[in-house]
Amino acid sequence: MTLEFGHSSTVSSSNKYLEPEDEELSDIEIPDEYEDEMEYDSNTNAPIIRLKDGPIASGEGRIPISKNGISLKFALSPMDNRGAVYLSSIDGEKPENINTHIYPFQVPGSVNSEAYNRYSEDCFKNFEDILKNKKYKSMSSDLEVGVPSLLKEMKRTKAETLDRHLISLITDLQRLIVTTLDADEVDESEARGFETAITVLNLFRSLNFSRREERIGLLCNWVNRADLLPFEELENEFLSESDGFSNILFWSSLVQRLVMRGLFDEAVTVIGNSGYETLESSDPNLFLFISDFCTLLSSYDSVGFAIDQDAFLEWKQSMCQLRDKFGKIESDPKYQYFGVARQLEILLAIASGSPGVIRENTRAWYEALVAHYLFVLPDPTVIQEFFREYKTQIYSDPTSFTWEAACINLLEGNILSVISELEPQEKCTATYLSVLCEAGGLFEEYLELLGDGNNAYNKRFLENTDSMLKNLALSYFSTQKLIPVGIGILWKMNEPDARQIIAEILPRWYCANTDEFEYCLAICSELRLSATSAQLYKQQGQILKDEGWLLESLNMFSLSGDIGITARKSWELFESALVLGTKVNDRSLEQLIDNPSIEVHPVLRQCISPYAVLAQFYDLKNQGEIELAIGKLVSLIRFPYMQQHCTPLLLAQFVPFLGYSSKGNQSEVLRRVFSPEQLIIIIELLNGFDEKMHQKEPFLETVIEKSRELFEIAVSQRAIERALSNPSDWRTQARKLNITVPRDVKSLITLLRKSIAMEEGHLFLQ
Amino acid sequence: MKESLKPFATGHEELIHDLAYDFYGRQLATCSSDQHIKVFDLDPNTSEWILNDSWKAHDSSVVKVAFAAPEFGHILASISYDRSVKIWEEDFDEQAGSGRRWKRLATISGSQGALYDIAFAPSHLGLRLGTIGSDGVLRIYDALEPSNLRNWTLISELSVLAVPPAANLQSDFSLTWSPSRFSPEKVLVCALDQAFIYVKDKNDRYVMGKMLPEHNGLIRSVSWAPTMGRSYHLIATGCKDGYVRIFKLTESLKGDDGLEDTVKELDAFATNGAYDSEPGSDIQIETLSTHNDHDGEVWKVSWNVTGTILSSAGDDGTIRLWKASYSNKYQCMSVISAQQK
Repeated sequence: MTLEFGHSSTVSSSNKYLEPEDEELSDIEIPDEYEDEMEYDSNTNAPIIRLKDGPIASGEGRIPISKNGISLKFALSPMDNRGAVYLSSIDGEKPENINTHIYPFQVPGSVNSEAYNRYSEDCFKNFEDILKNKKYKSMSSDLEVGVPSLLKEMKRTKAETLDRHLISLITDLQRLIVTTLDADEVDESEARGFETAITVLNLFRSLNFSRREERIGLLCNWVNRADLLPFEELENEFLSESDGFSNILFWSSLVQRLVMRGLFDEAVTVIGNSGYETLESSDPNLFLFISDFCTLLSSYDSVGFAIDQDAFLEWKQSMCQLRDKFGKIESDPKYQYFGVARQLEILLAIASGSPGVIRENTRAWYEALVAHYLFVLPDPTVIQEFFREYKTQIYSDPTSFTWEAACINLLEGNILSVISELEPQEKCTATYLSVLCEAGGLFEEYLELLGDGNNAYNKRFLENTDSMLKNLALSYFSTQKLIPVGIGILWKMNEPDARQIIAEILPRWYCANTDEFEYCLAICSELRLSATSAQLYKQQGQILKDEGWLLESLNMFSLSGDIGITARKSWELFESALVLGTKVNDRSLEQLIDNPSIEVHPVLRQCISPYAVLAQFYDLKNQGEIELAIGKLVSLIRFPYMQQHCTPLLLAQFVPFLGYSSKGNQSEVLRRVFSPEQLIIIIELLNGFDEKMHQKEPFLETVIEKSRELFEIAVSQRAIERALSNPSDWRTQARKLNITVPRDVKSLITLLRKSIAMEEGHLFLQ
Repeated sequence: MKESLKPFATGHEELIHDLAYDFYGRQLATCSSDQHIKVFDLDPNTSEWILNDSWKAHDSSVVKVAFAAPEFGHILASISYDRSVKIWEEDFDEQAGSGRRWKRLATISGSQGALYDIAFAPSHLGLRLGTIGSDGVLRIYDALEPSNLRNWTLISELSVLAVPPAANLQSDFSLTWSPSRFSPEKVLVCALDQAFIYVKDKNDRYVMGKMLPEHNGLIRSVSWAPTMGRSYHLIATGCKDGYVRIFKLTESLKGDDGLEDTVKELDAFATNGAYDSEPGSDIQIETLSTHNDHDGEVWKVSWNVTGTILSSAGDDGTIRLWKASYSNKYQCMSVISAQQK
């Protein structure tokens, strides 16, 4: 078998270890979770995502949908990267087939899961320190003048810091992958993006920032994470019989691959399980070679060899000696274990660092690369040499971005290209990778090549990481839970336009609790965004109102500084209490009314004062303090700023009080309470309102319309039935007095006038 | 596999004309030729849309619905071919599904033709809305008294077209407001194949400032992007001629006399909310990008909440998502096909 590098399909990059010619392996089932058929748009080459059970029937090619008399429309949700598609008519025409379904969709490229949100938050927390005032920029260049020992120490500290960030990034991403896969909340393209990102990060770490002694292990981890070798399955396949060691494929397809990937413990274990001990009696020579080979493999010190080349060369020399010794073994094809011996010879040659044999026996370029690093020389220069030598044989499809293409670019030093291609697949990881590169000075080479930093292109390049971070922050603004992370990024970076962006986005945040709201206010205060904070107060007031927190809601409106809206909401409260015929059920509001010493915004206290008087009226009436209650009612009606559309309902409160005279009823609760002076006042109030009802001014027309609507709501059958539970409600009392509840304002006025006339008559007779 | 978003039946008896989300994306309103409006609430746990209420709203097809900013309450506006605008408010005391959950606050008449589009102005301008109808007149209304949303005042009435289009001809009208609170008020009105930007003059009157160039057919849809810190505006149109167009609108505050003029202009803006100079003279319009990949009419365009992604729907049965590259070139980054495989 010859070396064929990167023989991947354009889209699916998994299962590279299976060669078409590996017939014996071809029936092993390998999970191909990322295998899917991506469609691409013929006009733009953009990926196509089809709506599940979409509204347009399948057909050949592109059909102008207007031919069927329909148009396609959609709306985008302001939050969580969602939208909805629907079919509509064209210019009001009626098509034959009517589809009135809505097809929600997720904006492609946006990940919307709890796990991903957590990953984004973790990344931000992890990088917060180096984002602050764009510290990643100042970190990029190392001081060159100073005490050498200090400079060295500074470099070491910086590398350690960046490595720590990178490790956190990898750990968080690994956790994300595990969580999303476990929860089954990731689709193929997202999963592919995560896998590509983790592979890129693993290789990036092994090449940059990591300590030298970690490098061999990290490179092996990179390959084994990127292209998992299911060695346990392969072991079961090849070692199903007791003398598994005699199966040539066991050596060529399993042991060889484990060795080339640096999985020495696994290699020694599978050899140990192969039953080769039986050779001890039948072929002690071969047994001894296998045993020695295992011993040498076990003694490979990936940590030590990375920093001590002499130790490595010593080990390599031992392996060479074993190889040479093995070469003297019987080479007669009639030898019983000729095939095994031949494979062992190849293995020894690989482990002795023979580039030719490595090349001939590897199935993928990355295996070859790792084998070179492990056995030729564990030194970074080997990587460059490897690429110089084998560049033409490494095949990578330039039209698709797979983890292999990314890694080849990374190994060749094209970091920027990797980042820009990773960004559409995994924006968050790509952005923080760019931050690390910038901080680590890995873009310096590009800058040297660009030279002059003044032209527009170079300037854009210099600001690439800034732009990526800003784009990342903006992308978070489409997901409710990530808005604070987006704000955090802009805030930390101290971007000049951050204030304006934050001012625009803060009101979009649906603050679910006080902490979140106070966080928003703190930002407004810090950035002096007074108009935004006013808007936030009003929005929060509305949210609290919807949740039934009346006083808190009114407090928010008053804190917004908008007296108009505070007044409107207070009048709404007043109207509500008037229609209900009782105080609204809100303990805090009650406490505020009862206790003038409670500190609230003066505007709020002033705005709710009509409601407070109405509440007092209801209380006094319930307590049987009718005269005092009437006094409150009269003062309310005479209140110069009273909303005039509320007047009829306020006047209606007189109905049961006047009922005694009109119906001649004697009630314990209801007794004659009006003095002649009070009756005159009521008459004046009635006259005043009656007069307005007959004026033709547009403003008054609206008032009359509103008063009519409000009154009709209050005397609707539902409202009357609801009021039955309240014995002191005017409608309940009227019914008790056999008074028909007036159906409209006009009837009310008539009823009141009649009742007053009766009352006056009684007073006169007395 | 990740939970897929399921299609759901609205229950409308005729085709849907419009769909609008509320400010937070938690409520969705639809309107239809069946003269009804339906409002759905998002169940945050299941991501499903639950019917909040459905009611007969107009005496003809309801063509557009729009939610007001949340600080004004749960306010919804609708327009119809019956030439009226109606303002609705959610009444939490009424049961969902009762048909009474949304209370009509006001009916605004005055249009001489069927209404085609309605849009609330950004909330920093107060509770203001604009309408455009087949009479080619832009009408702007204000709820001047915040305590009374039943009372809407017509503050401006502008004939966008010199002559209204003949009734038998195909026509379309749309409008969008500049969402920016950091620049003077602007509203863009599309009438047939023309798009006009209206700005305020020194007398606080709306006047035509600039026109968007290049359209060769009815403009079907228009969307003004949130500025998000950009020093310029982005506007997108979808046209019957098959093109999605993206325009860059730059405002220059600086006159020929340099800083002094700038200060004067800023002072004028701070005092009057409008500039002193010739309306629109400080606006430059540049066509950033044009795309005809829908292979037919473009029915709808819409910017996302950050103005970074433009979506367009067209006659090829797809929604295309456009995004600017770092070199500021718009590219189609994804296609959502409504056609079954």
